[in-house]
Amino acid sequence: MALPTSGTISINDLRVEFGDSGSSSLSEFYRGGGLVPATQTTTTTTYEPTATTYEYSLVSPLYGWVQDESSPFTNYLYWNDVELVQFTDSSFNATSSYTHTDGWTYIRSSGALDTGIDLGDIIVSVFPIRRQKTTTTVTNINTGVPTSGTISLSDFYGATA
Amino acid sequence: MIDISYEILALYVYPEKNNLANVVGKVQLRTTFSRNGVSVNGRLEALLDTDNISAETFIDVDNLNADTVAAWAIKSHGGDEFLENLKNAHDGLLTQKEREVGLVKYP
Repeated sequence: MALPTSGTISINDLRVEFGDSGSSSLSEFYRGGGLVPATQTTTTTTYEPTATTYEYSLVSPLYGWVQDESSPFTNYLYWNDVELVQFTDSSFNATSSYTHTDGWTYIRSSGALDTGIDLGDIIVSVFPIRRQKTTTTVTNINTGVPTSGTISLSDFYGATA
Repeated sequence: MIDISYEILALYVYPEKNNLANVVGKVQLRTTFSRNGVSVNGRLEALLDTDNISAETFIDVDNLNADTVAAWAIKSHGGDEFLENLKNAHDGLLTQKEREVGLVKYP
């Protein structure tokens, strides 16, 4: 819990908030000095369309995981009309997810919704697809607390561990 | 608990960067998620941070193993949180495979 944004702050409040033990002096509480963090890392995960539902469309915009039903079992991943990647597998339905360099992971449903689709030169199956991305954000915090020099208790208004 | 293992499918290198040779900048891995004797595979690609490498921490490309490369790839995508989410994404597929264990086609 953050320290109050006004009123009285004691050095004991700092010890409790930042987990210091033993006798304390203010010089132990410089920002980024080990007790008072300078940044906060937040991780969020985005799911599209949701964590449990899958997209599938064979008309524009294309969505889906398409796989050649025979060797070389080429996979074609489509999301919003963009072909993301092609890669081959040693067997049919051998790969269930693909993580792109941009951080999105595409997951296909366990079963194909359409099979035996004749594209002329290949016969394919189409699996519905969803995607998820983990994003890490680093935010500067405790910016009112100095990193060196003069420091006072009022510098800690709103500071947080 | 889902176990995960890695296999290097491809490495892409900068032939020379920061006076180092064959600096790995992009990786492709096969990931295998296993539980209770069944498994599903994924494919993981990542662009690696090569701006902050140094001679002290550099590993020759010929001495790299899959776990090291996977650790770099996972870090580039968000670290432990990414890995947990990746595992969770395969949970349902593993559950289905677990339920299919022992089934035989009749007749």
